[in-house]
Amino acid sequence: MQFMLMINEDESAYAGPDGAALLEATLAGHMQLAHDLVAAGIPFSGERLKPAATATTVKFDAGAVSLHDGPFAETHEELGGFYIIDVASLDEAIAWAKRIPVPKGGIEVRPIWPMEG
Amino acid sequence: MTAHGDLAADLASAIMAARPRVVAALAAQLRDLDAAEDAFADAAASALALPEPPRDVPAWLFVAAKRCAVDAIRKGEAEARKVDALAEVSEMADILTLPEPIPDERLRLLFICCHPALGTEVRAPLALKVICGLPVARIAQLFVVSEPAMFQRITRAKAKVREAGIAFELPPRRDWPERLGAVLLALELAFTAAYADAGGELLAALEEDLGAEVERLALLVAELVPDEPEALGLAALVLLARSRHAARLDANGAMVPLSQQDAGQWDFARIEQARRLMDRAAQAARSGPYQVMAAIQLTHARRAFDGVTDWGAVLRLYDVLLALRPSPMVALSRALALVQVEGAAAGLTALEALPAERLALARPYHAARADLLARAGRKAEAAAALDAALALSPPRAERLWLEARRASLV
Repeated sequence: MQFMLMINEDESAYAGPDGAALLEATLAGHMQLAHDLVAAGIPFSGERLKPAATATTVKFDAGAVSLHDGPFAETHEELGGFYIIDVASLDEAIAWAKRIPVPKGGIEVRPIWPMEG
Repeated sequence: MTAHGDLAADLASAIMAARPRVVAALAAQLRDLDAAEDAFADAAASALALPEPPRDVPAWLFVAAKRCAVDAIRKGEAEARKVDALAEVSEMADILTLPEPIPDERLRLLFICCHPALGTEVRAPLALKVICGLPVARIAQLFVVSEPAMFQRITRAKAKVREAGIAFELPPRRDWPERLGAVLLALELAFTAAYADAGGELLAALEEDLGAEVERLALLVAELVPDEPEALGLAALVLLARSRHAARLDANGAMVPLSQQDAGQWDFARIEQARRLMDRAAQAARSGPYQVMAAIQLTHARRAFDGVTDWGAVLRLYDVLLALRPSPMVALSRALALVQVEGAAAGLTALEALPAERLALARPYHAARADLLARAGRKAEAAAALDAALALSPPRAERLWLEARRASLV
């Protein structure tokens, strides 16, 4: 079954004097993870998102549509990217989620609603 | 009671005893907790409706429940396709007790119910509901929440197991230590449930079954993870508590406190089995709360051989337990050991230093205070403490014991 691994991370970790080196190490970790997923024969996809400052949210309220400059939820951790992997169980999905490099934040693991028929 | 009534009661308890193994095997095959529980309930109802009880109750239930599950799936599929629902319901009376072995999947089911992706507060309730078949009302009582709240908690957890893709396989060995802590806690809580009401009228049979089931599960876990000393410690603890079963109640059904039990009535085979488990646990040289709790109970069990209790050793072990797992109840037990070592006055001082507001609902706290106050000649206060314990609706055996002590004060 398919799972989406949503990477919520604190963007400010990449700011400051050591930020660039940390970002480089994190990206290298993602490359390694992609390599390992391929080696394990696990179908996957994933994307990295631009920072939350680039986000625009389209809001709906009882038929009225408005635009909001910023991400949907204003939190310390922002959705920074995601993987979609196809594995046998939540247990396997969690095991892969634990290998995603995240300096500070968390990964939400959600099963994807299967397409029937 | 009529002979027929006896038979029905026998069958009902045989069904209850068969439940964990049958439900676990069904869940492993169906990969759905609700479907397993429903199929078992249908099969149990069919068994009770038979003109004669089946010879091999677990095997009959397993076969019948699998048929019920298949029927339910067919019916569901037919309804989903909007086909005229003519799914045939199998005839239950014709099930032969074929020697179909029931695979033992209880540990697998225990790991699913205690999955780390489930909230800590729901793991033990889920295990008690699914594996032991404890009614939701009873589980709610045990965890001190309302019945609707507990029902919702369990329903949500089952939905998560079903929808989130939690693995129905046994986890790989390397993950067992992480998973084991949650399992041991669930077993401990289930065991507490079994022994909370030793003399209760209505639930006595169920709880004896539950105690036996927890013992079996604890021994099974100990057998499967013999390198994990805490699993061995918990199994030893359960065995030691169960070794006192015959001595727990007097002729009137009143509770007999441990220190006054006739040690000759204890089950020495269980004590010996516990001692061997603890010896094996000690070889790992990794102590933990269950091993310490078992060591305390083993020290008490030695009275059967030595004639006296080594209260100094008990006190030292409670000091260790207090460091490993601090709680007001452990502090209370430590104060009672102190009474034996240093006398009632020291004990009362230690008791009065405990957080009274956190122990207000603990009957053993009030009973212990009553004892020490009575020894100090403060009878009116002792009587008030016993009244406080009696006001907390103790189970029958404990109520009889408290009432006898209340009467002896006057």
